[in-house]
Amino acid sequence: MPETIIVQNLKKRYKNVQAVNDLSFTVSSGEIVGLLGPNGAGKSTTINILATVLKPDSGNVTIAGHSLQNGKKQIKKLLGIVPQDLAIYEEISAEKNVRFFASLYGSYETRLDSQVQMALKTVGLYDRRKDKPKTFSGGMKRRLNIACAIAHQPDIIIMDEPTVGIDPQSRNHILETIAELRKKGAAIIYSTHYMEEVEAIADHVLILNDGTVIASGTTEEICKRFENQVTYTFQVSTVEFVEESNFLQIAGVKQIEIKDNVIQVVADSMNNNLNDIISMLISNGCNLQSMSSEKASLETVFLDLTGKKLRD
Amino acid sequence: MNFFKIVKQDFINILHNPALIISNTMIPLILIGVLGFVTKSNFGTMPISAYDYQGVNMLILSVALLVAITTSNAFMEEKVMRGNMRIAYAPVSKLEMVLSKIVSSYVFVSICYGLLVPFCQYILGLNLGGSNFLWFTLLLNIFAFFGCCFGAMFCCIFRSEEQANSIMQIPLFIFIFLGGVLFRIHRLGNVVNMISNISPVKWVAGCSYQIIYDNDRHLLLPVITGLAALSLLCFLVCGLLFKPEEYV
Repeated sequence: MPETIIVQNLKKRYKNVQAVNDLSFTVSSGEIVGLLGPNGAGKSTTINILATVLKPDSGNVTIAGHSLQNGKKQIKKLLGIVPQDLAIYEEISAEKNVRFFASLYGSYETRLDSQVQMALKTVGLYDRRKDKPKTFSGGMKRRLNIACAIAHQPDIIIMDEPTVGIDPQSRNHILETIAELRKKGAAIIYSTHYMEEVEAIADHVLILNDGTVIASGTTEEICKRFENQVTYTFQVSTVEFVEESNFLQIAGVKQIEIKDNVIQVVADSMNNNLNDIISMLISNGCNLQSMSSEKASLETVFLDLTGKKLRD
Repeated sequence: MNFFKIVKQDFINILHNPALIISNTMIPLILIGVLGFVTKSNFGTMPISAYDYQGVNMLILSVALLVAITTSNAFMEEKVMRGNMRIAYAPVSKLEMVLSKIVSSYVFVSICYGLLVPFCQYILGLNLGGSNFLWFTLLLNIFAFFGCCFGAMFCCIFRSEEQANSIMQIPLFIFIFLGGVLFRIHRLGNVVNMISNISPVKWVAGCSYQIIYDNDRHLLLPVITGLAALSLLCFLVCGLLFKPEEYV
């Protein structure tokens, strides 16, 4: 598949913060690239640069053969943006919203009717097309936000957390819609905090932290780097006598977290240390009630790479 | 053309805002009624009644005070700003974005004051120039255009509707104070009188009295030229300072 978006050594700085630092990646037609990262990782800045509303300090961006520096208008015509905030007018009907925004991309009136109809059907809002968004639920507004971005049938779709704060049904519908768009050949950048969404739809994942890519590849490739890592979760009757430092002395134990009566131990399974961990629990006076183990998931990898510290 | 589509949508957005409709139609009438009634004892009925006098003054004051706010609402009011964000992502130039807000609010206030002046003249019986009322309407209209550009400029400078609205009240009140439409300032001395010449409100008020009571239009062209020049200046500031990412 041809590379539709080529980002090379992109940099953007806001006063004292390096929002994007030497970022490079590509997106091909019919591919979904998931952008993952904690708050302030540079996802939205990257998206706004690609959307041409923000100027980068340096680096090259080529979209469908047009350079960001001198092909801004041509690039804008090819893009469909689903911003994090709902970019719709609440006081006019859903249909008028979609029609108005699609018309800005130069669609002919005759084609516009079918485009609007198709976009509303795709997001499951055709039956409510005459209603105003102010009467919609959060999930419906999010779906309308997507319809406004796809009605002009863009080759490239950029989505910035399109499923924030909605019910599972709407989320499922949105994810199905995105998978449909990929089938039609769109190049999609999908930014989110939800790991399971990326696992479900992304062909390629970029994990960003402090403006740089810290991991990249398919979900399987990224998780493979941590394939020996296992997280044991122990439910115990008391944690009163547990000493964290004792556990960290066991070979292969990387991390321990104690919360209420639950102890989570992240360990390297190659060390065959489960027996030692359980022995340590018993010798620390914990009455073991249940236990479970979990192989590395995208979420554990993400937290491992970006840390558990709260972000602004 | 995208520009006209956006102007149309912006105009529809203004029509969905009852506060803007009321403030550009009912408020001037209420001000004329209240101030006309309060100052009735200071006037006879001929040649100028209190309502005639306050009619001219309050229409000018309303344009000075409310039109700029109408534009800042069309530009950055919370509800419309979300939709405007998507316009920033569309293939629309930033000048088209700014100009569409100015033009849509200008069309709206032109309709409002274009109806208010004949309503006051023919239905309420105020003297707004008799057969010259069209010249007075034209003057108010050009003044309203300046108000639109002024409101847009403050949005571009302060990048938020709330800040723009609260800060632009300061120069607007200074213009109104110096313009003498609330009370005469000639008693405050020569210095204040001289300074008052910087106020576009004073230009408009002076020109209006000439048109309405002296049937004299010699000030009309210089005042319109001055207002057009100020409007152009405001628009240039908008062009320099507006960044579409402010919507994002």
